[in-house]
Amino acid sequence: MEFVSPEGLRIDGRRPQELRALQCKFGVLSCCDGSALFQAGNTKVFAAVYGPRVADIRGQALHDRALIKCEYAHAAFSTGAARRRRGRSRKSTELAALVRGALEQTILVELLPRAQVEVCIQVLFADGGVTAACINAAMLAVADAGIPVRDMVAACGAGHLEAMPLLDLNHTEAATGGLEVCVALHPALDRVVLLQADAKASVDTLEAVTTLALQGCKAAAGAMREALLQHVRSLAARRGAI
Amino acid sequence: MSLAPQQALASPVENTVVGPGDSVLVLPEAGQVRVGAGLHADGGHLRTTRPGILRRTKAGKLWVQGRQIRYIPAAGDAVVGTVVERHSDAYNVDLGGPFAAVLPALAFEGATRRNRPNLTPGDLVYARVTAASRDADPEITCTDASGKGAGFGPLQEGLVLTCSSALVRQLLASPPPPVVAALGAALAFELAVGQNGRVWVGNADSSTVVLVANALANSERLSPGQAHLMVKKLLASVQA
Amino acid sequence: MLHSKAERAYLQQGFDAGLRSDGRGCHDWRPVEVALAQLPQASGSARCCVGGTEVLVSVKAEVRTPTEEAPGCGGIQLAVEVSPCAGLRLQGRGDEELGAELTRALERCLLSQANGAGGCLDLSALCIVAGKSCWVLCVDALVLSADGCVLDALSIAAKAALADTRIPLVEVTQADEDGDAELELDDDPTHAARLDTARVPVLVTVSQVGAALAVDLNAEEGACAGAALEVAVDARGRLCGATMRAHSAPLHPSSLQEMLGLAQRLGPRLLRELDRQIGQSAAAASVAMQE
Repeated sequence: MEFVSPEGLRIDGRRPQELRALQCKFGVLSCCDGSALFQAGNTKVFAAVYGPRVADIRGQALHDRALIKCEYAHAAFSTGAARRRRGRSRKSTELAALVRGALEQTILVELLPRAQVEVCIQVLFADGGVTAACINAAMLAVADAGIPVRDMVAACGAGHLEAMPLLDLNHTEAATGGLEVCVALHPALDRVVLLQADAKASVDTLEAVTTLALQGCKAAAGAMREALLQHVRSLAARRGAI
Repeated sequence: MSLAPQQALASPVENTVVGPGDSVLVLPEAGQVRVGAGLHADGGHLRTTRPGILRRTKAGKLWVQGRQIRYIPAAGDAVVGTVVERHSDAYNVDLGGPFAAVLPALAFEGATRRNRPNLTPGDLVYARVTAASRDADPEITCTDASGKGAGFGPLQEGLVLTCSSALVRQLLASPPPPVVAALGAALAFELAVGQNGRVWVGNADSSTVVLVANALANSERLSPGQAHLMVKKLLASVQA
Repeated sequence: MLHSKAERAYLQQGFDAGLRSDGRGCHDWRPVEVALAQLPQASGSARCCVGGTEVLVSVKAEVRTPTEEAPGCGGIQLAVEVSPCAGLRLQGRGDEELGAELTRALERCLLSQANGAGGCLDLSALCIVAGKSCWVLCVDALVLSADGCVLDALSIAAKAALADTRIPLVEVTQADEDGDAELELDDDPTHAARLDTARVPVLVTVSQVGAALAVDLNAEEGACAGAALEVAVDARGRLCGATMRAHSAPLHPSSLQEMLGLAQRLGPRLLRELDRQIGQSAAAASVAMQE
């Protein structure tokens, strides 16, 4: 199967360095303190944030900073594959840990000692780039809840197929088992908070793919920030505050 | 107009929408910059920590007006809380914030060791935050600074509305917002506005309380003219 | 959610007076919004929002071999999951147990008994080749947000998703030497068959608050409720099942009649509203397809 046509188009019609169409929505769930929906192409992820609140297990509270907890779930209908056993798999625990790690670098935890922030992620459809989508959705939900952060965090994935770095792989492209890198970035502070690379590759390839992924992060950050500002503007306009 | 994330300014632009992590000011080498909620010094920059509108108070303090659901206690705030636990000389009161607050058992008007209110878990109180440091549980009291009740104390039957800090700021603005003025002109009820995002409506019959609670909940997104119309419509539908 | 005694007493009074905190009467539902075809990758899907409760149901039709007891019938498999986003774990209730409880309750409503009786869908219409292959509808429900009335919302969304389901047309070609027939699926959506969901019931949870009976309690009202009965009612007002909710308070036998009667009156009303919204959604979809 050819992943990049001679004209330079991928199987979904994108160019090699083109990000999928991003969509961000805020305040989508009413029972939590902040929520958001993040969609990249067909990958669709909901995130809900509860907190900062009293730690539900007293013994876990940290005396000088907030405790960040992360729960991850994907719906039974989120993949095209046959229904597999539900419950906590290693992959879901790992994903939750990755999102938590990125958020711990982002949220100003020292401002909220002994409190707990719980982030819940629900994947509705997985079409590649799930880790990145989960981090982005979590960031948007945290911003919606007004929890203090150092900077936004934006994540993006990239891979290497047919000797070319490709940005934001979808499920079919990722399923080939080639190199896939997921990076998360603080755009204003310009620092990388997450780097995850699967599969063997030469140093040059890894560098090229990571650079491409970072560019993708910056583009995603720009889109997310615009969506966030638009949301704040519309809320303020309705209140007559602006 | 919005700021690009890397654009650092010598002087911040007020009343603009900002995103989290935006640099609003390059901190000068020497001197003082007064900073309120939603801003954080990082390296040489003053950055926002949440999305919202950048404002400057009359005293010259910069802050970010955002929408925050969870309450972070600050001294001087009036709050509506629920008693969670009772100890021999204090109550633990839930304010909906990260920590439960401590209400000393004698912190009521005219309370002595023999004669003091007997609150049980589940009771509502309207209180004032006296101390709120980051590392300790906040403390609240049901008296004002001179020891008088001033409207604080246990609350009787009524409805508690949970709302955002933005709505609470509107309700506490002076003069009172048109919604409260219009309702007050037509109905008799009592209102206790807690800056922790809880508003108690009571001391009236159930249909009045329901009407007031719904009117307040709906008024957050309405302009003053629309709020007036909404109240008129609600009152008309009740009288019908 | 912490509820003070004052609030609980207040809510109780409201119910006795027939007035709830958002102005509804005891027998009124919050606005029910149903949207079909939410998941393009499923055979049928629907989302239902009742106040703050939001549920998403997907139906995938898969070809499987039929069971030995019913070689001429297809099947339905049901599973309900509670998303961590609904925050129920923070209130001390396990997501997985609740998911299992909701699955069992919804199964009792939709599925037939072991002997084939009591089903609401004609499973023999799902047969492709008797004894060899049939359609099995895998119904997966996800509770995204829970503000009371979750089971009722699930039954509404399940019925809507089944109504939205398209079963591809199957062409059975000649059997080869092994006796296995080749199945060719027609991808054209306009050729797909629809399910007859006229007999699918909806679940109405009737709760007792003080002396009053009410439906559609939100989360804080639910905390004040006493006994609760989950009644499955179809469009003609016939009872298809009644179960006391798992952690309900004990019920007085005399209230039982009243609760069943209430469900029989309100169920058809809810179903008419649901059919209206499904019809609107289908009309909008067919207009979009023609364009």
